[in-house]
Amino acid sequence: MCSKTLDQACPLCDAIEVLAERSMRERRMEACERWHNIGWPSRRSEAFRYCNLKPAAETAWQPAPNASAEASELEPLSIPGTGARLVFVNGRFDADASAAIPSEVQLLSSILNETELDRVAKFDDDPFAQLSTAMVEDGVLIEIPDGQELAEPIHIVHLSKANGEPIASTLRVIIRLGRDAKACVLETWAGDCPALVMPMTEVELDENAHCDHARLVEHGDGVWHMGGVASRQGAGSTFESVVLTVGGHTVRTIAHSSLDGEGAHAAVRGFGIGDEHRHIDSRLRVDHMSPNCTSREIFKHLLPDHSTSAFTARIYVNEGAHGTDAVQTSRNLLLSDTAKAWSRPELEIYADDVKCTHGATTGEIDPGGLFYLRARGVPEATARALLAWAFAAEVINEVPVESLRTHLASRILAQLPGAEALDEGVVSL
Amino acid sequence: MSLLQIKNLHASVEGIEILKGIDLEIRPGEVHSIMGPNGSGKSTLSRVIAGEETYEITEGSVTLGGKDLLDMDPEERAREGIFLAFQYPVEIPGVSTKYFLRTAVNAIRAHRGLDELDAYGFLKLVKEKAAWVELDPSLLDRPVNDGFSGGEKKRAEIFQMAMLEPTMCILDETDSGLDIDALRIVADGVNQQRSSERGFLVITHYQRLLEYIVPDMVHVLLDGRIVRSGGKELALELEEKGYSWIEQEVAAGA
Repeated sequence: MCSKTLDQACPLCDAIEVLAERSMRERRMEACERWHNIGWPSRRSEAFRYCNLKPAAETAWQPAPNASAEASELEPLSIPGTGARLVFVNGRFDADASAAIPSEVQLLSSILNETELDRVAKFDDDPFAQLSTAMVEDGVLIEIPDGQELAEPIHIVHLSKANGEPIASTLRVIIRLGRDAKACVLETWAGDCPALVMPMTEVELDENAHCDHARLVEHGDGVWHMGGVASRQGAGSTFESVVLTVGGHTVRTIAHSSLDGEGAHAAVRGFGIGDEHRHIDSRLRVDHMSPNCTSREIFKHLLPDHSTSAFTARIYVNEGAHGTDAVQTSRNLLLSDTAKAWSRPELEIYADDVKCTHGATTGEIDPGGLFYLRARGVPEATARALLAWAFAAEVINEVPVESLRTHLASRILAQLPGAEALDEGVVSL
Repeated sequence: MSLLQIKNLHASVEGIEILKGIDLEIRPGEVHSIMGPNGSGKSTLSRVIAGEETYEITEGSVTLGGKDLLDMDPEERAREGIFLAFQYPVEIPGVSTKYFLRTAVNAIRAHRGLDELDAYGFLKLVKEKAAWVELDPSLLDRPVNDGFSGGEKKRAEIFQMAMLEPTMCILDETDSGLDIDALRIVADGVNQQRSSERGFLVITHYQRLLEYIVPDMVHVLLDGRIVRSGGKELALELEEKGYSWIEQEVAAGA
């Protein structure tokens, strides 16, 4: 993409300069410069050790053209039980394809100058977070006042649509909940063209606020999904998040969760199904800044073919954050000899009286379970699919929003290797 | 006409021979018991019959109603009528018990040329059979064996047996870990399933279970061989004198 030498033009930089004329001039130029300084990380870079960016670095990414969504493209992405669906195509709002904007929601395109981006976490070292800020054109700001609750989940759909050339786009979702406020925000990322997408979501929760968040990655095989989720929580607040990956070429998520107020709780979950050479990369950080906070991280991957996953997660416990209770789990089920998984838990603890546990397992389908099912007459293919489903169900069953749970389950069943041997009855637990 | 016929069966795991020539014939309606000390090969025998692939069969044959079992996958054996009640039933979190059982029941019914059970018919059957072993039906809303107590797992095994209506039932130490009340319930469940067409092979370490499930024949397995066979009184003799008695007799005879 951008090597930004004097004799080479960079289409993305040109686009950023045009955007900077209109809004966020300084912020964009600063982010653009950082992005240039970092460049395309090689695998020698610690943060991209398991993530091969070479093919993306050699791609001439273009700014995404204006486009609109067809009903037929959106229909399969709908999530039953959700309220307003807001559709963005190539990083820009598609009003015709969207529901009326709820009163709690503002489009970012009209308030970019007045809205402080990256207030929750800056991700200064991450090139895609920087490029995302430099290129941002639109997104949503969801603000729920003290004591209020969003009546129905908001569903944000982002589609990538190119006309031949590989395109880059981004979208910003900012969620700010007041005291005791509650909201559920779901994101679907889709589109089947060569694309680089950089979803960035920022969540700020005041005391006792509750936010459910899900990101569903349903891209085609040609998509580089380099996303981030940053959250900052006040006392007693709860953040429940899940990233489901069932599409994309490379799907990377950096998640930074800061538990600032006493007694805050964060659950960060991920479930991914590999395919061909798909790589799913999760890089998490949870900061326990105050006493008696709890955090749960569970990431599981089902890996067939040559697919790979990497899980790097750090729990940081601040001085004085006693009563911290943190659990980190990474599990991988390898469905082929060529699939690979890496897990790297890291603990950094500066307080006494804390409970931090981490567990990582990578293995094949349990032969004991397989024999048990077969010994009851269940065909081998069905038994294998059942055990793969069971592996997924552990994460999905933890998701607190029922309609989302059902939807995630159906998405997983649609992609699960061997799932044709199962019927939807398997979901009813 | 024999139901289960085992001839000169040798089986090993990782090159170590566990079964060293087993001969056993069970006719329809008969209950046989295999007793033996730990490590004698009792569980191996049950798993070899059910088709676990970790064992290598080096010699001999196993047939059910004349059909060669050793040539079949575990699921084919189950459909032909083999049922193994596991000593340690596997917990499978995430798999609904009802879904799993309905899949199993319908696979077996299809093999027997019967129509699939619909949801209503299936639940009716579940209710009826669960009552046989006093199994709390709400357990079946949980994942397979997930969080079941030891006794609940054993009852669930006998319940599954009742659901699948096998012709040859193998109970692998179903009595282990059961208190006397649970043992009686499980035994009652088994006795209700005794019929003139069905055979049972009851594997146990202790004579206690055989007070409730009275066998036609008792075999003593020692170091991979059946060293003695007799009527139900053999179990009592073993209980009284211990396995070392047989070990010494076998050693003296050899």
